[in-house]
Amino acid sequence: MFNFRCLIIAIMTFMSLGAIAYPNFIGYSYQSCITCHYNPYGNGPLTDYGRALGATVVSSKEILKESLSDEDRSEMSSFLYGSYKGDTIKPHANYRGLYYKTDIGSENSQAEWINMMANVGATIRPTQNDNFFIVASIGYAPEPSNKVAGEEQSTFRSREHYVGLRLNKAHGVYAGMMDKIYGIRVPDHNSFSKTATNLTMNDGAHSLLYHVTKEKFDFGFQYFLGNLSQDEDVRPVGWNTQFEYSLNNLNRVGFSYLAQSNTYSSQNMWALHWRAGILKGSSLMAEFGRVTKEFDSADPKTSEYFFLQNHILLKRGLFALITFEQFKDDIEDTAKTLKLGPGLQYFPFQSIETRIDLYNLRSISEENYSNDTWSIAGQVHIWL
Amino acid sequence: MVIRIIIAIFVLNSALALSFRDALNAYNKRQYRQSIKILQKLSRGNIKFYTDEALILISKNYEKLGELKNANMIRNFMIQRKYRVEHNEVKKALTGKSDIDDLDELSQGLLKVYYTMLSSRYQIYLKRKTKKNKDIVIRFAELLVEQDYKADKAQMILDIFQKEEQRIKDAIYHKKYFVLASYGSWQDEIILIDNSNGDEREINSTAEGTLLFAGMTYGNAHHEYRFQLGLGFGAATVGEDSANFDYFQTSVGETLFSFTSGYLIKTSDNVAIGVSVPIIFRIGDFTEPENFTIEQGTVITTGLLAHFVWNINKYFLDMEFGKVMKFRSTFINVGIGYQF
Repeated sequence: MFNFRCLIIAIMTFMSLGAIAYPNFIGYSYQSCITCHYNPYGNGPLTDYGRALGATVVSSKEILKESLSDEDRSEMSSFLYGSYKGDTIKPHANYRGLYYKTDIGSENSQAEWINMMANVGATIRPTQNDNFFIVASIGYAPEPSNKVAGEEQSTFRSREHYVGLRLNKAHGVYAGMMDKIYGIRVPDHNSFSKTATNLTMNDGAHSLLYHVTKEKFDFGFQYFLGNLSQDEDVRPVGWNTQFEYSLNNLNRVGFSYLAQSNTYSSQNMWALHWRAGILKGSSLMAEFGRVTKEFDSADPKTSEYFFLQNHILLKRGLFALITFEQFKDDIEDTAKTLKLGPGLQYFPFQSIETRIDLYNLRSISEENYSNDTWSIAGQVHIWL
Repeated sequence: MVIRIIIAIFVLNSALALSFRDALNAYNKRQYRQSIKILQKLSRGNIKFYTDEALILISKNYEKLGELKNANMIRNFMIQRKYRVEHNEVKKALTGKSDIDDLDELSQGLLKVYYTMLSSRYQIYLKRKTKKNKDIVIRFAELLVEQDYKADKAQMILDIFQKEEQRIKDAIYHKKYFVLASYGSWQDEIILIDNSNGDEREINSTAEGTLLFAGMTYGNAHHEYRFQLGLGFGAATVGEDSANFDYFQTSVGETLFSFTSGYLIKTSDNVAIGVSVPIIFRIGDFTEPENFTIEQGTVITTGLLAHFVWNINKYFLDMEFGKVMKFRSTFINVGIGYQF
């Protein structure tokens, strides 16, 4: 029988020791993703610990404040608000919906609701612990905006399916379809650090990942074959690596590199990243990177991006965040795009996240002048 | 005969127990003088015959009556009667001649007296908040925490002091100076006036550049006022929105002078969030076309900016954005500073 009191104590202990976490949760002294996620680089299903953390430290206590203690919340943080069991199979479900309105105040303004994902899946643990497991998620994914003309893509797909084996506390091997490790894994799929690097939500690949975690650093190396459901000629094959080093329990610096190619193009890129905790949940995250893409019929072009995101914990469950980004499509050119996005993120109750961001987009060029544009994004995220 | 003696002892004990209870009842009813009288009667006026419970109660009565000297005398008597050697060791520790941690486990009876003294001294402190009274209370509380006797209550008193100290410390205003270098971007507009007919044309521009600031913060742990002087150098791309008029320039030099005052609330020790009001003087090196006059080539303006500061030791990240009048769109300023 799972001991909830122990879990709460463990959460508090890890917090004070600054052992582990999820990108901006370095503000709570969590530095790595592995305690909260089965995938050592985050994303995908949460471990029991991650679920309990989400239910207690991360989410607001305002709803059912009097009737639910943190211990109760931790206890009911399993699938469909159930309680923990030493299950071999741990199901999960995940939904993210996005309301997006572009060019606010302009005649060209457009608004739409996008069901970003609606996944169901399970983590199978034959040994009933987290040392050996199989993760599989399948569900709805919207058609990509840059889909190839004439190519019919199913809106149902496997988001991830892989086998994970922790050889010991430090070393782990993962094989299957999963996200590529690179940069800071923020959930902002429209950020330049994701779009310029082609690492948005459906860019996972069949791969083999080796991960090492020590008190001071995390290191990962991944070899990937692309998404095997794609045609072979467009499937990018390559390798990537990431190293993150803790300067102290509130500062982590890192380096990422990725090289891939298919029949028509090749891409290599690197990034320097930094995450800093400002205590009590607030944090700073910055990433600077360059991406070089080369197509058969053209000269290589190098793009450059800078991503800065700050979270301010206003009260438990409520964050103010500001995202500032800069993107140069071609470093030989002086033209660049700035994006400033103040926003609010609120976890009203466990397993529910809401977020609203206002984006101010500005083009700076010596070739022409253009007015700023404004867009708004509202998100609802539910994980069960 | 034996039976009579047993009955007599039983009756006497019952009478004593009842009497002490009476004394306790009187204390609870705030009849402190009455409670003392009962206890005196019990011991036939001789202090040597008082039990420890009776002595503690009598000292409490004196305390309530404000006769602190008598209360202390009673407690000292108790200590001297049974715990002289232990108390001498404790005295050394309390006066700093030895460590509290080094004390052996003390007798429960002595600790009980110390706890009474702690409660009493704390009450005295609440009436007269002197440093001397506070130090005595802290010493007794630390002793009890170390000896693990009613440690939770003693710790509670220590926590109250700690919070009080923190509150005082947090309320103190500090003046700090800083320098800041930042990247800024803004969009503004100039007006071209056709000298021949007086027609006005709005010409928009986007600029970016480097801004240098020096300033001062004045605040405490809860909020701060922020004042800064700034100098900025930017390059603008100036275009035209009208299809029937051609005016386009790149890398137009712009210089900004600013004075900003802001008010920020600290959401934690290292994060501040608030608003700033800048006064901006902007000079632009715009080329004046023949037969046209430029208006707003030089502007003085103000605005309202959201302002965020994240401190990491002596360094800080500073972000400002918002509306500046006469500027077309958001004024953005992101920089890294150093606080002296």
